[in-house]
This record gives sequence, structure tokens and C-alpha cells, in this order.
Amino acid sequence: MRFFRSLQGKILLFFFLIDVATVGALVATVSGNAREALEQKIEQLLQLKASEASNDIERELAFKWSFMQSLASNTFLVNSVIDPQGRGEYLEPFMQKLQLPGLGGEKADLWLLDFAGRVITRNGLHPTHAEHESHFAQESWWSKVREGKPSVMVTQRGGHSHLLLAFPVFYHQHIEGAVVAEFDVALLRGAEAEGGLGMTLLSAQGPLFGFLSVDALSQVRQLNPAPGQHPTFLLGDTFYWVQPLGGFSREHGLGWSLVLSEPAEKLFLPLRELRQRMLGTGAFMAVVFAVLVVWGTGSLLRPLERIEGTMRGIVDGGDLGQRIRLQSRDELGSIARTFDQMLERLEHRTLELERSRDKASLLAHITSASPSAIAMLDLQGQVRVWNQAAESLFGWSLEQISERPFLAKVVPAAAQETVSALLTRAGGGGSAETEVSLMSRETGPVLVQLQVTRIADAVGQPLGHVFIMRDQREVKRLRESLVQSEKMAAMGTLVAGLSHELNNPLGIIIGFAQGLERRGTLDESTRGALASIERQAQRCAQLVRALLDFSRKKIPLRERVAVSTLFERVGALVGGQAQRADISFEVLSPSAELPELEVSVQEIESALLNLITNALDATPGGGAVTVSAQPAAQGNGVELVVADTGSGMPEEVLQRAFDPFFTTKPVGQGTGLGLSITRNIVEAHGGAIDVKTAPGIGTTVRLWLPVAGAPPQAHRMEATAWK
Amino acid sequence: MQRLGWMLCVVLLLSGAASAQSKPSSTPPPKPPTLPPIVLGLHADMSSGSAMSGEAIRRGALLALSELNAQGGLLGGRKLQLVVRDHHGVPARATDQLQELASTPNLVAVLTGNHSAPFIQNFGFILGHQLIIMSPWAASTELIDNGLKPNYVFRVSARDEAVGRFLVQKAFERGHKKLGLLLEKTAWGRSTEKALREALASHQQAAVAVEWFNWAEEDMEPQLAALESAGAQAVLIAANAPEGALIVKAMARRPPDKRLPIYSHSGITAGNLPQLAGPSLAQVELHVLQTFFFVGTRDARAQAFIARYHETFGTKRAEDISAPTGTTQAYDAVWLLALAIEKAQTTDRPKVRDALEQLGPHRGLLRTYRPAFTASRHEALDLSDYKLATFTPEGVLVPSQP
Repeated sequence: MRFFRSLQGKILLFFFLIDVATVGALVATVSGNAREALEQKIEQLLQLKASEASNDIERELAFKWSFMQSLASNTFLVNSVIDPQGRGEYLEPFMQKLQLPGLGGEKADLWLLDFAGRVITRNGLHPTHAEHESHFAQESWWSKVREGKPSVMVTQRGGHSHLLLAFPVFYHQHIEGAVVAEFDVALLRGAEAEGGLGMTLLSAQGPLFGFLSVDALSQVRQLNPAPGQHPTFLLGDTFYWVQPLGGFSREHGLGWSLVLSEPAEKLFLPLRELRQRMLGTGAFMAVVFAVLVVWGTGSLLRPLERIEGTMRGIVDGGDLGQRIRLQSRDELGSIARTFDQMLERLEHRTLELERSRDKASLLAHITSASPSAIAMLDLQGQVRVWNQAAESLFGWSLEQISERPFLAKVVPAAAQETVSALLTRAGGGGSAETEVSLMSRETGPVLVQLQVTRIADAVGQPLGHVFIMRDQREVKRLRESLVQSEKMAAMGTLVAGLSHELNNPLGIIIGFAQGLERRGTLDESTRGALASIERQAQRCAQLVRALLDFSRKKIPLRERVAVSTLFERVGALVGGQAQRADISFEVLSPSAELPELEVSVQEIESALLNLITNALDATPGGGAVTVSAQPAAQGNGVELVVADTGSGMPEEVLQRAFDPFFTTKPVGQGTGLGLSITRNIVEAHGGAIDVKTAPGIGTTVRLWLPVAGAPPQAHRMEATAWK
Repeated sequence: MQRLGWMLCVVLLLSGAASAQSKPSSTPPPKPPTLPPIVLGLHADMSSGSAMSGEAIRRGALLALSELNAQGGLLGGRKLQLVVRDHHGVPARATDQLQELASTPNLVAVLTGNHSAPFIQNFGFILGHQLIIMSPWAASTELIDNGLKPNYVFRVSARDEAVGRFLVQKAFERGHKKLGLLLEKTAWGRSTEKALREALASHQQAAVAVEWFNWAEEDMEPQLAALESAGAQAVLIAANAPEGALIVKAMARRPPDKRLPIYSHSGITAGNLPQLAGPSLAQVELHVLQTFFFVGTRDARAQAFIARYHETFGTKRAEDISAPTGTTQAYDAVWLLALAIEKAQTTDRPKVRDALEQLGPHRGLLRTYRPAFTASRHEALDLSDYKLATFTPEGVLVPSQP
């Protein structure tokens, strides 16, 4: 089967089918024509045979009839009829030798009768019917002969049909005798037709010689041929031709017909042989064709195989450096040379394409990896390119963003004018950019730096615009953070200087207060005042130390510690406070599988204490503060969670919660540095802090810290992604 | 269809009517007793090639019967009747008819036609049925010299043997010494051949050639050419009228200097030869045997006979009496039979036969018979009765010039 899928096989199959179709058509056409020709030939043959046979029979009958007529008028016989005494000498020898002329004449019976139908003599060759030995007077035909009319009639004798010819012998208008001949009609058959050609002579009473089946006889009798027509019919396996006899038969009212029959095999056998020969020739030609096709297509296919091999090499190996290099001057050679030229160009183009593809891939990679959201809009404003950063920034996939024109979907009404102006500016070539808020799917307006660049094809036809949108929220935050940092740095410097300047007076105050207190002379009120001075001075000193700690850039010592250890130590510190405030404080034991942290234990404890203290402070009595830890859902870190059911924070408070010195606590109860210091500690550990709060419901603060051993480079990204 | 006329039966009862007219009576005569007729048969060719002979015989017989019946008949008033059977000259037909005739009541004798064969082949029957056969024309020698005992056959006509001698003699007399024979291929022809050969032999001669012909022959030239080539100076023939006419025609077609004289038996006068031969008849020297001529006769009996003949058959002239020999010989033959019946006083055929042998002299029309027959001679005529005749251009038989 595989062979027939090949070109050679298909060509072979094609020619085979052509051969089969041709042979089939030839067989059908030729056999059909041959059948008609054979039918005509057989009809002609039958007609010819029938004509010849009927002519022979008619001629024989006419000949015999004429002979009998002349015999009856022969004076020898006339005299013999009349001369009874002497005729024995001359008549008997004559009659003994007398024969009918023509076919079978030697087998015919001949009689010479007297006027009364008595036999005078007869030819002595054959025994005859007993009734004929002496006279014919009782025969039906005799009365006709006695009336002077010749008679011809069919008689039946010995199981055979005989034809009897009787002529009166006249002398002076008187019938003085008769000559009679009788012969087996089958003698008229003559030479039987060769090759199975059957011949039947048919009278109204039935066959005179030959055989016809009952069906054939019935059909022949149903025929009523028009004059000049000779009906033929096919019955069973035999052709029949009916030839009404004319001439003698018609003249004497015999109504004979000659029926020739020819086995249909005569028609079908040559047809079968013809078909077999044609099929054999067709099969032989198919083989010859196959050989010729295989041989002929070999020279055709070798170049094709070279072409195909070259193509296969290109397809399988991608080696465009292959060439067919066919030297033939024919069409295949032309194809091969064209193909080689095509390969040349293809190779060149492929190299260009590969370069372009590399560029495109690079561009795509760049585009995809770009932190900026990139969108390419066609002239209709539909998004055609939509990178990952854009999806992340705006929350729509390419399909979703393509549902509507980009500007209608992303640019809010307030920014339409700005963007339109931007597009106008970009239309002059080059880029134009501005900071504008665009709509995201989930978070609403997103401040982006929008850069619009018009793009055009090689001939300068505009293709659309590229929108590069950089998220300005982080920039803004960083910018704000930078301002804050600069502010904090300035404050730190200020605080450090101030603290340094304050420490000395405070030390003196505290020293003098303590020295005064230790004097025994002091009354209680003074002592009390001195104690208050020392206490407040101590508090100031503590504050100064805190400020120093805030502003001082210390490099913490980090160690591996289990979270549970951290929780135990912190819990012990704040447990009493919670209890006093009637707040349910619960530290949920972390899982044993929770990874350890590699942190500055003191700082992390300080951070946790800040958070727990804030929670306890914000939680009214009866509330609950819960501390827990679990592996972070994202990144290789651990989440430490401090949740309360306290008052929560409004948005404006939350916005400033991490500002230094911002506090909502009563004056004297808080420095406003707790959360700020906590964030600094966490971020110094590569972690992150997140606050979820709802006024009246509570606040949950989560810390994300990298597990021990995690690569420091990943901390930032993971921490960013964690939020 | 010219059917056979064998059933033609003519009964002439002339005597009764004639006597009633000649002998009128005032009172009706007593009714004569019914007597059986005396029947004579005529068995001849009445319609074929020799029909004229049959008719001539019939006429002669009828005239004789009319005379006899006019005289009151025979045997005390028994009238004579003639029953005719036409055998066409064909013996086979004659054989059948002869049986009919033999069974005819009151049949006494049968008159023949000019053909001998119908009777020759039935000698056994004739003898067995004691049929008296009276030949007024048939000439075969064998007809009379038949060996029958008793011989029931009588003849009032020529005899082949004598005809042979007569014709040879006449030819010789005319200087024709080398004679060729031309004969029909029948018993009569063979009988004539024998007679001619014997006659020639008696003159120490022999036929230069003998040729035969069939009935219905269509051309006689080959035979005549053969005879001529054989050196014949004359031709002696035995033929009936149709074939005789062919001979005449064939001879007439020959150059005049090649035409041979023909000496013929009487057979050619049995038919209408003048009509059959046509103009050829006048171009050929034809001599034919005859025994009687009405033309030119001065005999009173003959004149009376002619008158009765004209009266009976509506003819006007003697030349109108065709085949006179047959008529005359039949007339005489019937009279001889009548005489024999009268003599025998019975119609019993054997007795009549015997009476025929015992007749006395009788003056007939042709001759006076002294007597006609004897026990040893059943020939009524002899050579002296033979005459040589020829046809006039009108076809009338007249005596040949010596």
C-alpha cells in the first residue's frame, strides 16, 4: 500500500486505471459492436444460408417438377401408356433406370400409371408401399390428376414426409395415364449446413424434415412476416431464421417455410473469446504499462527523489544549505534550479528571519519582562500587544482588554483630554509622556507614567501607538519614603545632636537630683519634688536614649531562633499587662515544622513587643489579642501575626501609622516611634510589615520574615510580593 | 373437360316410327309385346386421335341398325341397339370397358374401332365371356390369327399381312424398290412391320430401314432423315392420323426432290388427316389403303346408302362422308351379325358366333360375301378388296392413279 501512495505508485495506478477503463470501455464498446456485427453477420449468414437453401429447395422442386412435366409429355411414356403389348421390352428397362434428377433423385420412387391410376410399371430401386403396388386410384390426389391437373402434395410414409408429384399423361386432350414421383422431403435438405446450422422445412402441418421444439414451432407459427421480411428470433440458446419459401412452394400453395437455426453459442462464443482476448491483451498491456511506467517514471522520479531528498533534508534537518544541483535541461531540471534559487533566497530570508525572530523574541522578552506595562494599540485603538506587567497592573488579560477600545476602557473621563493631547503630541513623531491615572480592573485608578509613541512601518505608514505605563504608586511611595527618610535622617541628625546636647544637662539634673535626694535634710515635699525631678529627668534621658537608638545605625547581631522561643519571651513580658487590662492574650504555639528565623532576637522581640503593646493599648477590656505564626503563603518566609479586637484605625490614621512620632495615644503614654522603629527593624531583616485594620473591629498586623538560610536577594522581592 | 364418351348410348328406334309414318292405320295397332333389344357394342376411339374412325364405324353401324330395325328387327321383332364405349385407342381403358360391355344385357357382339390392341390384350377375357368381336377396321393379323378356340373374332376389314403385300406391291409397281418402314411403336406397328418385311421378303427385298415413332410424337424428321440416308425411295407407314399428319408435315418440309412417296396403311384415315396435315397434305405423294369410295360411285346401293347417310347425319355430298372405309365396313359387319343372329335365332353369343361361320352369301355394300366367314376364315375381305387411294387437295379420299 505504501508503494501506491508514492508518485510512482500513483502514476502506475493511474495508468492501470486508465488501462482498465480503456480496456473496459473497449471491451464494452467493441463487444457491443461485435455483438451487433455478429448478430448482423449471423443474420446475414442465416439469410444467405436460408436464401441458398430455399433457392436450392425451390430449384430442386422446380427441377423435379419440370422433369416430371417433361416426363409426362415424353412421347416414349405416352406411347408406353398406350402400348400394352410390346412395352415390356423397352419400358421396363427404361423405368428400372429412371431417376429423378437433382438431390436424392436416385432415391425417389417413380411410377407410370394408366388412366385409372393402376401401376403400369415403376422404377425398381426401392420397395414401395403395398397400396402403391397396383394402383393409386384411392389416393386423394388422383381425382385431381384425372381431371388433368398436376398434383403436388405431402404424404406421410414410414414416419417420413414425402413429396408426391403427379402429372397426367395426355394424348389428344385425354388423360391416358400419369407419371408419379414420390421422394422423402428430407432429400431436399441437401448438404446439411455446416457448424451446427439446423435446417427445418416447415409446412402448415408441421416439420417436413428437421426438428423444431414445441416452443420454437409455436413462435414460428405466431410470426406473420411482412412480404420481403424474414423474421428472426432468439429462443433459448438458439437463433432462428424463418424464410418463407417462394417459387414452387408459393405457386403450388404448399406454404412451406424454411427455418434455420443457429446455436447462439456461435454468437456468444466469439464474443467471449473476443472479450477474453481483449481482457488478456488489456492485462498484458497493463503489465507492459506497469513496466514502462516503472521504467519511465524511474528517470522521472530520480530527479524528484533528489528534490524530495533535498526537501526531506531541509524538513528533517532544517539544513537550507542543501542544493539539488540537477543538471537536467527538462522541466524537472528547471524546477530543481528554481528550487535551488528558492533555497538560496530562503536561506537568506531564514537568516534574516532568525535575526528578526531573535530581535522579536528579545523584544517580546523585554516587553514581557518589562516592569512597565506596555500596550500596543492599532489605529482603531484596539490593543494588540499587552504584556504581563500590563496584565498585572490593570488586571485585564489581552482578551479582556481587547473587548473595548483601550482608551474607553482604561482612560477615565477625567484623563481623556490629557491622553488625547498626548496622542496628538506623539503623532508628530517621537514620544510624549505624562503622569496620569488610568483605571485598573480591581484597584480603580492607578497612577502611571504614560509614554505614548507612534509606530509606523518601514514606509512610514502609521501602525498605531505604543503605550508604556509605569506604575507610579511605588515611585510615589518611594518618593514619599525618600522624603520621609531624608526627613528622618535630618531628624536623626537633629535628634542625635539634640540628644547628645540633652544628655549632659540631663545627667547633671539627674546627678544633682539624686545627690539632693540623698540629703537627709530635705523635707518630704522637697524630696518628693526632687524625686519627681529625677523621674522626669530619667524619663527624658530614656527618651533621649530612644531617640539615639532610632537615629543610630546599628548593625544587629542575628542568630537562629525558633518563633516559639520568641513568642515565649515576649508573652512573658506582656502577659501581666494583658491580664491587668482584662484582655485575653493568647499566643498560639506555632507548628513544630515552622522554620526557624535568623534574626536579631532583641530587635524582633522589641518589634513584637511594640506591636503587642499597641494591640493591648487599642483593645478595650474584654477584648482579645492573639499572637500566631505560620509559614508564609508566598515566598520562603514566616508570617508573625498580632491581631486584636480593638478599636481599629481609620484610613487617615493608617496612612500615618508608620510616621515617627505619630501617635494617637495620650500625651505621655507613647512616643510615636513604635511602629516606625518596628518597620525599620523588620525591613532591616529583609522582611515586610502589613497592617489590615477596620475601625471598631480590630487590627491585624503581619510581619513577614525570611526563614533561616534564605538567600538575601530574594527577600526584597518576596517581601514585596507578599503584600 | 372432354370427358370420355363411353356412356354415350344411342338407341335408334327408327323402324317403329318409320313404319308408323309409312303405314298409317285408322285404328291403333295392338301394343306389341315388349321384347328385349339386341345390343351391339361399339368399342372404339370416339374422341381421340382416331375418333373419326370411331364415328365412321358408328355411322355405318347405325345405318345398318336403322335398316334392320326398320325391317322389324331380329328374332321376331327385337330391335337392335348400339352401345358405344370410347376407349381412346388405349388398351388399358378398353380392357375396363370391355368388361362393362360384356356385362351389358343382351349384348351379342362388339364392333371394334381401328385399334387392334384393345382386343388383342383381352383375348382371354373375350374367350372367357364368349364375346363376339367384329372388326370393321382393326387390321392386326394377330387379331384374327389369335389362336382362340373357338375364335370369337371376325373382321370385315383389311388385314395387316395382306396390307403389307398390297402396299409393297403398289410401291414396286410405282418403281419404288427401296422401301423404308416407318411404324408406330405399338402392337399394330409391329404387326405391320412383320407383314411388310414378309411382303418384301416375298420379293426378295428387305426394308432399307425401319424407323419407329411413339404416339404423340412431335417431329418425324429424324426418322425420315434416317430412312432417306438409308436410301429409301419410298416410305411405308403404319400410323394413325395424328402421327401420320406429322409424317406428312415432316415430309413436306423436306426439299421437293427429297420428298419420298408415302404408302400408308389405312390408319391415317382414321382421323381428320386433312385437317391435321393442312397444306402439307397436298405437297406430299401419299397413298393410303382403302377398300371403298363413295365419291364417284355409281352403285345404286351405294347411292341409296349415301342418301340415307345424308338424311341421317345431315351431310350433303359424298365427299362429306369421312373415313368411308370404316362406315362401309361397319355397315356390312352389322348386317353380317344380324344375319348370323337371325340364322342362330338367338342372341346366345356362341351360337351367333357359330352362325357367323355358317352364313350364306350376302351382298353387302362393300362387296358380296360368298360367304363372309367360314370356320377357318374369319376375314371377310381379301386382297382384291384393297385399293390405293390418295387425298385430293380438298382432303377427299379418291382412288390413286395407277
